[in-house]
Amino acid sequence: MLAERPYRANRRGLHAADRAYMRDTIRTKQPVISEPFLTNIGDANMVGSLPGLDVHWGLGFGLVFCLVTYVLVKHTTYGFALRIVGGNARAARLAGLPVGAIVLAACALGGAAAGLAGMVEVAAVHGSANASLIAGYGYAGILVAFIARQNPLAIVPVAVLVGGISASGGMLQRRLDLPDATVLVLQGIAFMLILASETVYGRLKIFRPERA
Amino acid sequence: MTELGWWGVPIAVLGGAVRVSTPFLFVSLGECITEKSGRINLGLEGILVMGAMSGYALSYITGSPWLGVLGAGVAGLGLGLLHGLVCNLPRVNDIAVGIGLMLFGTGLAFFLGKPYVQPKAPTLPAMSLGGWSGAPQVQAALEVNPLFLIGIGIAVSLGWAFRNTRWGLIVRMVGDSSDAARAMGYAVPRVRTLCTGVGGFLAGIGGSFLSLYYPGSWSEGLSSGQGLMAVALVIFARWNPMRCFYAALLFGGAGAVGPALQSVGITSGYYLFNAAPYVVTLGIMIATCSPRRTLAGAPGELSINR
Repeated sequence: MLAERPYRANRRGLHAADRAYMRDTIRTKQPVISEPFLTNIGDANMVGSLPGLDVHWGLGFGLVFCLVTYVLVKHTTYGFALRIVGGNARAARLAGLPVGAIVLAACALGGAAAGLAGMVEVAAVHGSANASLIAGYGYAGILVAFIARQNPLAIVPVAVLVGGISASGGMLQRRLDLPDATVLVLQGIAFMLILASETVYGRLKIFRPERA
Repeated sequence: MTELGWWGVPIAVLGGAVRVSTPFLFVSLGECITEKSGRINLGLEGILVMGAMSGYALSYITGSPWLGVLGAGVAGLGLGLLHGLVCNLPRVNDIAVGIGLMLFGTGLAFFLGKPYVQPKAPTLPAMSLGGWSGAPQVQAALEVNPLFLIGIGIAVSLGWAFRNTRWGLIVRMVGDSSDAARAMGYAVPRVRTLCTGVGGFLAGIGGSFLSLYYPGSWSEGLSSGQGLMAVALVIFARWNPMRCFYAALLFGGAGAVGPALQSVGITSGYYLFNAAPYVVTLGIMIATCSPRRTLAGAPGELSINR
């Protein structure tokens, strides 16, 4: 095994014994070349914590982005056009909207949000771009948007809930001696149930909006 | 040992294509059936991992890798039917449920597969088709797994069945116009559920190839998005089973370019060449699509086309 970046106290992700090359070494009893030596971005370049809190600035970025998106989608002409395109692209084209440009702009904004999340992951959590960044946040994020019913403000509580479930993994592992994949199973079951419960929306009385 | 020199590159690419393409082939055939019936199952990634785990575990317990393959298929069938049944409920989005199933499948596989990371299970045998050649590189490239040949057989018969059988016609009709199918008296939800189940079965078998042949062990980093890429390959192949096979071969071959070049001494850009399959797929997709029409052969009932 080649040298690897020294252990950092605040690093998260796979335990050394869980990493693929370590497992291969244990299983095959042969030396395995580890991932390339990774450089750290340095503490001076890290994103710090919110003042007075133990939470890094990523939360602030997220909240601001949600608010901006909410205003953009619900209270601007671009947002109105976007909702028309999403509702019926053909009707939008008949109304003379530049459908391609609107969709392209929406995709670019979505990409910007995801890129910002990646930046926060590197600059506030990991300190370097390594393979443990691949943690399925992208897929879970798509589901968060579905469960929030495409409402940017509803994304905040849903995302906090999903993130909380993910973060409880370590606790489950220590206290109850469950494997860390328990969290994934829990998340999967929760997502499947919530998405399937979409079918009772509007059928049960408590979900029915009051008609004035 | 014969020296092949530069000829080693295309031979190694061919060998890589044969070795790597099987899981892509099975998953994209499964997705092809599912999408022909008008549903998208993005959960095939989870089914693939679940199939890899259950195949490896069954092979370890029973000592027979073929029982493992069957078990992987049955596990995939179960998850596929789950997706099909959940999506039968009105107003449930099949893409969202698919992503949920992906998380659920991988999570369940990691959860149940913890005890099988260490033990060594019996793996599938390889068939040597390169005995006629003296060059060891050619022989290594033509080490074929029986599952690869089965996959070709399924692709051919599936393409034939879609064109020439009553069942194929029913599936295509359900996928192109559920109203027409309902008017003819066919139960649209049942056909779609069955198609999703069969698709899951094939994806599970694709997963068992990963854990029982190449790379040939079960670990949590086993699948690196093969299931999702196979879904893209179906669109790339325009919902045609035979073209799914070619697309899987092309994808596997493009992935083998980096290691092949490395073997003749070109090591710069190794990680860049690892991105070659994705670049090739994206490039061809962009080159062949048009904003003015939907893709030829696309089932009309797919939620992305409606």
